[in-house]
Amino acid sequence: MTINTEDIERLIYSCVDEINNNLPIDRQLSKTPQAILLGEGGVLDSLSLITLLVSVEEALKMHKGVSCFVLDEEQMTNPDGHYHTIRRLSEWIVAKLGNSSSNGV
Amino acid sequence: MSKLALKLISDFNVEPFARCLRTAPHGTALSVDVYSYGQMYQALNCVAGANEPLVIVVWTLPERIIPSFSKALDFEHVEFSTCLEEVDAFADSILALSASHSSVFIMSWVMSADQKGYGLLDWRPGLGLHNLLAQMNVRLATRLGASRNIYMLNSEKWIHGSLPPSRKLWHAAKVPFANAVFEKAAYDLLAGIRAISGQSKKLVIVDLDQTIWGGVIGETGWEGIQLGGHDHVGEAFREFQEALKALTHRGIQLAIVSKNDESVALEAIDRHPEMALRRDCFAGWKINWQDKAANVAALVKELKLGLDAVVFIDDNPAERERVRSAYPEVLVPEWPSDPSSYVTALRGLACFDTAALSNEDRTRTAMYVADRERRDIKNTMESNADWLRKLETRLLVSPVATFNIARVSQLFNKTNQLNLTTRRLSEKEILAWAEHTDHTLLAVSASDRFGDMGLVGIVGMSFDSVTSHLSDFILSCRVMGRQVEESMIHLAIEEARKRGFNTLLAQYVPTPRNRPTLDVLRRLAFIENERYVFRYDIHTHTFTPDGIDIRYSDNDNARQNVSD
Repeated sequence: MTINTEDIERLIYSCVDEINNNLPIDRQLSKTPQAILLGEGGVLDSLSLITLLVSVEEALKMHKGVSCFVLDEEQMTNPDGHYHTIRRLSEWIVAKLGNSSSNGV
Repeated sequence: MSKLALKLISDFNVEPFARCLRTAPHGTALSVDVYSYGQMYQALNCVAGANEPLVIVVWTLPERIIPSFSKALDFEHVEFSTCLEEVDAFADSILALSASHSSVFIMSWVMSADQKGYGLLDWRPGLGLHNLLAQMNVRLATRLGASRNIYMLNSEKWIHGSLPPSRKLWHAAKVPFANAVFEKAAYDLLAGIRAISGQSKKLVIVDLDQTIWGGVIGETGWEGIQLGGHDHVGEAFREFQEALKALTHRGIQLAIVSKNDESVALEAIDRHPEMALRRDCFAGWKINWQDKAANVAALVKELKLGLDAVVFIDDNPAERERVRSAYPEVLVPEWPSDPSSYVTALRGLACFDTAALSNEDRTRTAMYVADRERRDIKNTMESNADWLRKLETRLLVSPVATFNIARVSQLFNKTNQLNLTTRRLSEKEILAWAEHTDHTLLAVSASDRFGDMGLVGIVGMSFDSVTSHLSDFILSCRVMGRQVEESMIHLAIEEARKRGFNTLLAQYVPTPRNRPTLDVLRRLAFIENERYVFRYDIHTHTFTPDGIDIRYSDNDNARQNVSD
């Protein structure tokens, strides 16, 4: 099964819905590839970001049947890294899945 | 309106719970603060002396707050008594909190679903972890049960009813539960807060066909409806009836609004052998072919309740929408189409919780049935005065004390229409107010030839050097219009006269619901000095309620009439 960036973005959006449920409207994350997850202009605090990333890991396992370590402490301190936007996160996950092994990536 | 202040104290990261509370329906009426989870004990001690009118919520993990239980989880040998002593110490800190805050909610302890403990031996006394945790919960509940403003919430149904959380969230953020757990907890906590604020529902109005029995009785007659009878659909309706009947034992009334011929429907209620809900289970009914919304309003008025105290259950979506749009304050839950889901839907309504359960609650259905009989008698009487004399009403006046505080608190916090100031107070606050030497707080119980109506009224008075003040005038709407309100004013006047005062002052605080109180004050010759400030000249007071037998009791006599 091939998983592309758009597939992952859709999956992330469903996780964003869960996060947004418990956030005031002015702090909710938009469901666009350009939505900033980490860095200047971002609306999520660290707890929301961690919750989102763990939620994405679980959704990958549940809906795509793949195990992928999305939560990476090093990335949390790099606002221009893989967590910068939803698109970057999606591309990173796709890249990781491309190098997948049975033990997770 | 000021927001209710809520503070969360926890030994884990409880911020997701705070967010659920803030974004929940009605959550905007809350101001939610979180104490840092790394400073659990400091938080307990810090807020203990604050003496603020706020609600504290304490949610802890047993393995973090009870050190011996943590050892037990590691399969170290632990004396159960040691664990329970640590529970006692924790309970003491919660009791200290409760002394300086209006309410404290505490979550019961639950073990992780993947914790198997000693397996086969895990319920063995003196060894098993589940046995130990059960004892810890019971010990905590027992110790805290002595306090009337501490409420323990059952967290097991949230935690074990949700998917297990990712341990990663715990490792990364010290969040032990999935968001679904916090959402369910917020739902139940807000229901609890509504309950202690007197906003719980008091009346469930049900439809008949396809709601409490299967089929259309107008077509089949009572012999043809589906109810019980070892048929799975009939059994589902019977089970639903039993669940509704169970609500009446905790003070919730039932009533019927149905489009049917009344005689046909009542025949089924009287004669069907599997009917769990008989005529005496219902406070009233409107069974006719009129508009249901109008019937709901008429019935609620007849029962002297507010529309916001009502739940309306009907299988027909169009009727639900009709009532919902006509009266948004009525709770009209969406209803499943499958009768086997009815009981679950009913139990899922978090609107029936109350802060206390009194004898009046348990016997309220009988009281409403007696009310129906009173109304029937009234219809045969030529004058209202004849009817009142026929009732032979008796009042028993008692001091407010611990033996009747549960019911008194209910009246303080749930009564809207006959309520002079609508001040909402906890049991602790009421007792503290009553103990003041310059205050008097009287509880009034009523009975008549049709039965005991229980504790129905409160008269609160305060005194300064020159004037007596009517601080509280609260009367259950069930006895409105039977001269009990006049009798209570009479009591206040006599109390003031006994203490040597010439005047009684009453300051009416208007709310959207307490207009009847204003009418009583104006009817009883109070002089309205300025808008909503009333004065009664005690020396000109001449009236004594006609035909009402008023007696004062000592505590022992009162206790026979009122208990919690």
